[in-house]
Formats: sequence, C-alpha cells, structure tokens
Amino acid sequence: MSYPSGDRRISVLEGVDCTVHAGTSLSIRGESGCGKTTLLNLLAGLETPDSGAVFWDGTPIGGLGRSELARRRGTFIGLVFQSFYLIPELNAADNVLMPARILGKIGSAQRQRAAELLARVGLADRAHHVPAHLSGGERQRVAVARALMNRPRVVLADEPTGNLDEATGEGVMSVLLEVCAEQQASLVVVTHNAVHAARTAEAGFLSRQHLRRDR
Amino acid sequence: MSWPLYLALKQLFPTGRRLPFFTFISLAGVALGVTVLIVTLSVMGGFGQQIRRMIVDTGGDVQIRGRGPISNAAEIMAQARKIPGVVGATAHAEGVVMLLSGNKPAFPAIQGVDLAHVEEVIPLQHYLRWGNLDDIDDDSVILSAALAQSLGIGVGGKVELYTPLMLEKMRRDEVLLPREFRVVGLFEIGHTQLDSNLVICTLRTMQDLYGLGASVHGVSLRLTPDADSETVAELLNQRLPPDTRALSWMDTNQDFLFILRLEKNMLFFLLLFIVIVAGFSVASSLLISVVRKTREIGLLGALGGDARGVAACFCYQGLFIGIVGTALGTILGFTAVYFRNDAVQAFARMTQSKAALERFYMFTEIPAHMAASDLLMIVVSSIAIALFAAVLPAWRAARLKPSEALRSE
Repeated sequence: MSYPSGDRRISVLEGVDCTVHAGTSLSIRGESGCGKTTLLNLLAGLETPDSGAVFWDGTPIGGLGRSELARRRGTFIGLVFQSFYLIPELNAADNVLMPARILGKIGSAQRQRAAELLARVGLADRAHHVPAHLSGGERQRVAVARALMNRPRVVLADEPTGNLDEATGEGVMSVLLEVCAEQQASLVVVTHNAVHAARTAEAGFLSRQHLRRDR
Repeated sequence: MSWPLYLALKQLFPTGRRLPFFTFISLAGVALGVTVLIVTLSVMGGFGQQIRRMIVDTGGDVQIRGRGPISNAAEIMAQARKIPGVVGATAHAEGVVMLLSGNKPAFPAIQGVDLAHVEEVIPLQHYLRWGNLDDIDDDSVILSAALAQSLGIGVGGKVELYTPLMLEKMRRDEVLLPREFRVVGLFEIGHTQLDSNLVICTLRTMQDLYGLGASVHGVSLRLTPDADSETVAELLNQRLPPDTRALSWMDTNQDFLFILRLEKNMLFFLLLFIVIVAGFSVASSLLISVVRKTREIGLLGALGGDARGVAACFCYQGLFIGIVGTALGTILGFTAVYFRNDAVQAFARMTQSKAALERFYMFTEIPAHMAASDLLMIVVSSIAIALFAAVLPAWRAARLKPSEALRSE
C-alpha cells in the first residue's frame, strides 16, 4: 500500500498478511506512522490496496462497487476511532442507532438493542444526552456501542484509548473486550499501550512495513 | 425516514439545542425574499385588477365594432344576447367635440349611451359623484369631474358643443350654431385620461350631433363573471356579418395589458434576486458545513453510508430551508398584505401625508390581489433556488473519500 507524495509514492505497507480469526481479539502495535491506521482502513475497505486483496468472511471485496462495499461494511465491520467521531447533533441513543438507520433498518427491535448496548457499556442513564454533555470516556463507550449496533463480525478499533487518561482508557478497553466477546465479534485494536495490547488473545507488531505476529 | 433526511433535519434542528444560526439566517433570507415578492406582486395584482375592472366597466367585456357605422344594432344585440354568458348589451356612438364653457374651450371625447340598456353593461350610476343618471335627457350631458374642474363648471351649468358635422355646414356657408347643453352630473372613474377628457350624452343626441341617423358606432356586451370573453368574442365572430367584428376587452387593450404584464414580470425577476442572494447564503453556509463536518462525512461512509446518501443529506437541507423559508415568507407576506391599509394609514398619520397620498397617488387604500399562478411561481422558484444552492455543497461532500475525510484536521 502506498500514498502519493508530490511526484512520487511513499510505500506504507508491503507484503502484509493479516488474518483475523472469528471471535478472537488481535492487538496491533507499532511506532507512529508505521501504517497501523492504514492497515485498519484496508481491513475496513476504506482504502484499496495497490496489490493484493482483502477478504471479508472469505469473499474478496476488491470487485465491489462503492455503494455495495459501503452497504456490506455497514453489516460486516464496526469501527471505533481515537477521536470518537460522534455526531454532535444526535444524542447517545441516536448515535448508537445511526448504523442501523443507514442500513434502513430502524424499528422497535433496533431501539431495544441500542438501549441494551448503552446499558451494557454503562450509559443507560445517559441515552438522551448529546455528546457535548458526555465525558471522553463516556463518548468512547457510546462509540463502542455504536460499532456493535449492526452485529458486525469484526470490530476495528483505532487507538480507542488514545485520547483518554489511563484509568478511563482501562475501563473503555475492558468494555470493548468484554462486549465484543459477548457479541461474538472479532476485535482488532491498534494501540500504543503495551498493557492494553497484552489483554488481547493475539498480538502483532507493525514495523518496517511488515506485520510480525507475537502471539 | 431515510437516514439522509433524518440527519438533514437533525443538523438543521439539533436535539436539545437552540435553532442554529445557520438555519436561522438561511430561513430568514428565503422568507424575506418570499415576503417581499408576495407583498409586491399582491399590490401589483390589486392595481392590475382594479385597472382591468375599470376597463371592463367602461367598455364592457366584449365590443362589437363595424368598418363604418352599424345600422342594424338592434339585430346584432338580439343575436349577441343568445350567446351563453352574455347578460347585457348596449349600443353606443362616440367621437370628439369642441366644448365651450363661457370662453374656455376644451376638446373632449364624447360618448352617446343608450339610456335603456347602458346600466346592463356600464355601471354609470356607480361612477357619478354628483347628479343622477335619470336626470340626463337629449338636452343635457354628464361631464368627467376633472374636465368640469378645468372648465370651472358644475352641475346646473351650461356648455356649448361644436361637432365635426358643423364643418360640413361651414363649407356649405350655412350658419354655424352650437348646441347648448345643461350639465346634470359629474363622474369620476379613477382613470386620469377618462376623468379629464370625456363627455357623456344620450345616444340620440350623439346620433344627431354626428348625423348618424339610427346607426351606432359599436355595441358593448356584459358577460357573466365566469364567462370567457375571448370565447364569446370568437363565437360572435362566427355569427356576425363580415363587416362587423367582436373584440374582447383584452384585444382592445392589448398594448396596455402587455405593459402591465411586462411591469409585473420585471418586478418579479428583480425581486427574485433577494431569494437568489439568500440562495448564495445557503450555498456558502452549507459549503462551510461540508468543510467543518468533513470527519463526520467520512464517518458516515465508514458506517456504511454511500456517496448518494451523503449528497442527499445536503440536498435535503437546501430543500428543507426552501420549503420552511417559503412557508414562513408566505405567512409573513399574506399577513403584511392583510394589514397593508393599517400600515399605510399609520404611515400617513405619522408623516401627516394623508392628503398628499390622496392628491398625488389617488389612493389611501391599497388594493391587493394574488393570482394562484403568481403564488405558485413564487413558491416553486424559491424552493428550487434553495435546493439548487445545496447542489454544489452536496457534490463536494459526496466526492470526499471516507478514509481521507476521517484523516482531515
């Protein structure tokens, strides 16, 4: 995978082979700028590799059109970002419901699931609060609930504790691991934190454009 | 509700927050433009309708004219009355005379009306400010108010009339004697030209003054309010003799009506620029929103939203601003039209200009009429402009790649 930079291209990842097993958790560590986020974007189908292929559940996604890819991403992948990316105009419950709404599936069952997910991440009483009225840790827990709304097979978390203090980050990481396990979703976490990385079932280290599996 | 529509509504009216400034300014811009358009076109429509009513009141809905004098007026009137929609018919003769009041001359138009039928077509009594229509006979005339004022004459006064027929008598060396008439009434229509330059007499007097015998110059018809004057004129033309022709009031006043229509259309297009400027404001606000919300747009893509949905979200915002702004503007516009006379009275009181308004503008009450087609044009164009304003921001938002949008600072 490479990016254009002026009149040349900078290679970010090369010959990376990354398999995420069903129901497992994988942490990926690496130095800043080594391509961790690019790897997650490739896995999420947000970037197209220069060569090679990405498979979701054994199906290559390279041949899918933009709309079809987006639709499948909505059901197969859940995303958690370092900066939460909650929609400021919506309250916590509506933010959690957004992935279901985008798929056109919105009804009492989905509202019930959103309420359950919020309760599971410990925010049952903050469902009607807008992001501006939530703390950083609470916002990230809303983002975790949102990532799981459409029962994705894989949750990709890009430095989910990067903007949080140690204690809050620890709490968010616990919620992420526990809820993904309960929902039988595979979890891939990109993190700088070795303690958090140690809590996942599998671990990898990205260095010099290659992914080394530690566990 | 689709997610683009839902998100568009939430962005315009966010949960638990006050109306955003962008929404307020955008709605206010469109509403202001629509209000001004409705008020202006209503007043223009009101004046237009008054002028049309005056044209029809003074000339009838349809006029039948001949190449020369019409000798079989009674027959034509009977034929016209058989046409569905015709409720009145009256014959008239017209010309120009020289009028003397003392030593003051004037050269007004003169119209001879058939007293037995004139009220079926022309509500002459309605326009009489002094005197009564029953008082007129073959030795009396009714003058337009401004003409009487310029001649310094009132009801009961006497005038002398000279007609072109008298020129013939002069050629034959006959003694030239003017006809003397009593003034039995003064009328005021509200049309400067007619009010300053018209004399009304009986048809018999006019036939005598112009040597017409039993002939007339034309027949005017009154129609039911729902009848179409063009259709009636067309039907009459199929049945009338070839040397006579029926013309609707629109045909006879084609040039004047064209100017009225042109004036109204020009005003519409000029005032529409207020809405267009509001459209630019909507476009720039939405473009800022695209830049400010770049990461949110990327997030929508990451959550499974496609480019069309993102574009639709911004288009819906423009559409919604158009619909709500137009609705608000329509309510404000009609409220302003409803209270127009109170506003004028208040302005006249405040500036002590009531007399000036009456004198120079000949009104203290403003007429108003909004045609459904005008309202439809305002509504459709305002909504279309607001929607069109959202197209560029929507296109820019749809072009953003989710991964790049999420990376943006």
